[in-house]
Amino acid sequence: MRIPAPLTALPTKFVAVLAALALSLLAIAAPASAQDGARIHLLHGIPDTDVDVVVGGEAVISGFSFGDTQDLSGFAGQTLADLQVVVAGTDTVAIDAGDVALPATGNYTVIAHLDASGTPTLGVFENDTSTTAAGEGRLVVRHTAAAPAVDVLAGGAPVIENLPNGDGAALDLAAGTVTASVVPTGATEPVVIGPADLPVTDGSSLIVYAVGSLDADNLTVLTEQIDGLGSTPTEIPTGLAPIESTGTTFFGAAAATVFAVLMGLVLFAGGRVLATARR
Amino acid sequence: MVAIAAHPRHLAIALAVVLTGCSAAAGTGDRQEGASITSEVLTSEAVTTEAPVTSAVPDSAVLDDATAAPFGEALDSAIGIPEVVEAVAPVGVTIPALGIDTATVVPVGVEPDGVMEVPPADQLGWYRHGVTPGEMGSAVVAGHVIDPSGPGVFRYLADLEVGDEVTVTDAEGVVRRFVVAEVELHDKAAVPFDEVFARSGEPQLVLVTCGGDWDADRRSYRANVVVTAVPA
Repeated sequence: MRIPAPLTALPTKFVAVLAALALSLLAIAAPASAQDGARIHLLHGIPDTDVDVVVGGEAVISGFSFGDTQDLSGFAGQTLADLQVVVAGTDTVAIDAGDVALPATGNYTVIAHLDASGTPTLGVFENDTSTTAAGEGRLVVRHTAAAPAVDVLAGGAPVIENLPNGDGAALDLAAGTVTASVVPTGATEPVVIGPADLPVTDGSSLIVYAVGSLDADNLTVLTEQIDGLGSTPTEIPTGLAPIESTGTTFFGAAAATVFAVLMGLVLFAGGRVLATARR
Repeated sequence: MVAIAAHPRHLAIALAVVLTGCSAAAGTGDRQEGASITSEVLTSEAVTTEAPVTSAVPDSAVLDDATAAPFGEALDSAIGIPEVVEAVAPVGVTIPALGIDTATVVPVGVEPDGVMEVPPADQLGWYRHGVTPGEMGSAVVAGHVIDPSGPGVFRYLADLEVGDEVTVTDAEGVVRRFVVAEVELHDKAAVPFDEVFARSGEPQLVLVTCGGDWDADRRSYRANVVVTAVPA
């Protein structure tokens, strides 16, 4: 089968509730002609829940654990037949996703995570790989934890507000260190995650996932980084003023020298002309 | 002429350099000196929201025998936050052939309009968003050739010759030796910035100043002198 849109309405059957991991992959229209392919990462964002990933009846990833990351870029443009996720080491099917088509191009992260109510679900995010300005990096925050909507505070002030589970927000920031914390929307406490020092690196996108469960008191973060987005300065302005505007001692002397040389030439030439004329 | 006859080797071109010299007009105030961000910087307009992807399925080949090869590649765990890595900044540059003895180097970034910051003429600026000298890629140090207070550190940069030595001292006192491999003059519109600021490739040190004629219409010099040095 093909996964119908939208993904958030995937017909996922939770056969097992305990340790259920809703995992299916993404289905995005993409041109099949592109040869440079896609970058597709699969992230495990549910604490304390090991799973196996099964394709075509065979376990293709065994013991996939919290925080594990699998690069599925090699399967770009292909369909994974009869994809299932089972509780690790068992036949207990957590999700039966059917055939799953992977995009041929683009940059995506698929994360298995908890929804706001604590039910395992799947998030598919397209990563912004647009160029960052010289001196800037990108910070992306994604709410994939069993918790209400949150604000992200930086320097004590909200920079991202009312972010619900399943959504993300991106900021391009001057390179440096951002001290950020996550709080319930509209409040400054309790701080549910952080404060944490996040490196904003020129030309890199740091993607931070809030994961875990508020009720289970295991909220934490996963991160991934995408490099190579940077751009260079557009000019090296080692001279922005005309010579005449800098008429202090140095240029004054230089100009006087030039003038003297030119005058000397004029006088010399003039003398030659006069001498010729006298003949 | 007398005022700039400091270095015998450069007497012959002194007049030419006077006419093409650069002046310091650029400030050095970076947008953000790597500090914690403030609400003033981050307005809500700057935030791009994103939602989970939802769209249709393309036609694609079916993979039904996934056992033939490893299923993708296991990458490093996503647990945790990357450490904040502080580069050990270069603090001094010495170029014996030009009589430059431990010129002060300061870290610089970019102006809001995207041009590189350049410090006053008695200092050099290391592009702190790029590569650190000695690391893979291209480390950039720029300086004025001249400013209202007098000749800049890179007054005679264009006179460097292949094989001349350049040493860089970092904040921890480590000295790295480079030798000049190439001296180029690029029209400002054709400076190969991707190469000058390359983040990968063999380690190199690129020294930059101004050259060429003064363009009164554009109020800029027409060229950059670009000296590429490689580890000795």
